Amino acid sequence: MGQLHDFKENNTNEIDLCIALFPEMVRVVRLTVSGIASTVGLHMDVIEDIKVAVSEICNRLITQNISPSQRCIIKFVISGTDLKVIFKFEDYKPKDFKLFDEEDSFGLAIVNSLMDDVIVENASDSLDIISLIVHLEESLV
Amino acid sequence: MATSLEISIKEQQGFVEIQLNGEVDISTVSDLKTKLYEVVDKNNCDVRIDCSNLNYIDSTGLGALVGALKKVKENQKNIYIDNLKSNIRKLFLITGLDKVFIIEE
Repeated sequence: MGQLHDFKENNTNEIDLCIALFPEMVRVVRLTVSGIASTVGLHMDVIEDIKVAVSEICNRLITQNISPSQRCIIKFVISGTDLKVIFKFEDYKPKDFKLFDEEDSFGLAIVNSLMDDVIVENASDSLDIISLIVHLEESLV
Repeated sequence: MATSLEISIKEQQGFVEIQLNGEVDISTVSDLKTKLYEVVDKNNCDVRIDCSNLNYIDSTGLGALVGALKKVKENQKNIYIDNLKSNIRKLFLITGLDKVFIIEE
C-alpha cells in the first residue's frame, strides 16, 4: 500500500510505454510491465497475470499487420481503485478491431480470465483500441 | 536480441524427451514448432516435454503444443507435459488444456 501512496503523493498516476511493436519486443514489454506493476505494489500473482494479458494483446496487435513505423503506446493509469492498461498507436487505429478471432481462442480465454474487465474501445473519436482493468483493492500486497 | 528459448532433444528408450529452457512467445514459437514437428515426424513414439526450466508460455506456444499433439495422436501416441511451474499450469487450466495433455509432476 505504501508504494501506491507514493505514486499519488507525486501525482504520477500515469506511465506511458512507447515502443515499436514486433515479436522480439514483446519480451521487453513483459519485463517493463513487471517493473511497473511491482512498483505499484501489486501481489506477485497479479503482476504475473497482467504480464501475461498484456503480452496476449501485444500478440494480437502484431498480427494486425500495422506498419512498424507506428509506435504502440501502452498507457498504465493508476487510480484509487483500478489499474487500467490502455493500448493505442500514435496516430492510427485499426478498423473493426476484434479482441481475438476464432482461431485464437486460447488468447481470448487467457485475457478474459486473468483481467477483471476487458474493454474494446469502439469510439471513432478516440485512438484507444483496448483497455485491460485490474481492481486494485484485492490485488495490493 | 538474444534468443530467450533453448530447446534440447534427447531420444530415450521408447520416447523422446524435449527440454524447454526459457520463454515461449510469439518471437520463439516458430523454433519450437519446427523442432516439435521434426521430432513427431521422425519418431513414432510418445513425447515428454520437460518444463522444469520453462518460465513463460503464451497462447501461440500453447497452439504449437496442440498442433504437435494432433500429429502425435495420428500414430496413437501421446504428449506428456512434465514439471509445469504454477504460473504455466494456470494457463493450462484456463484454456482447458489440462484435460487434453497428460500432465505429470
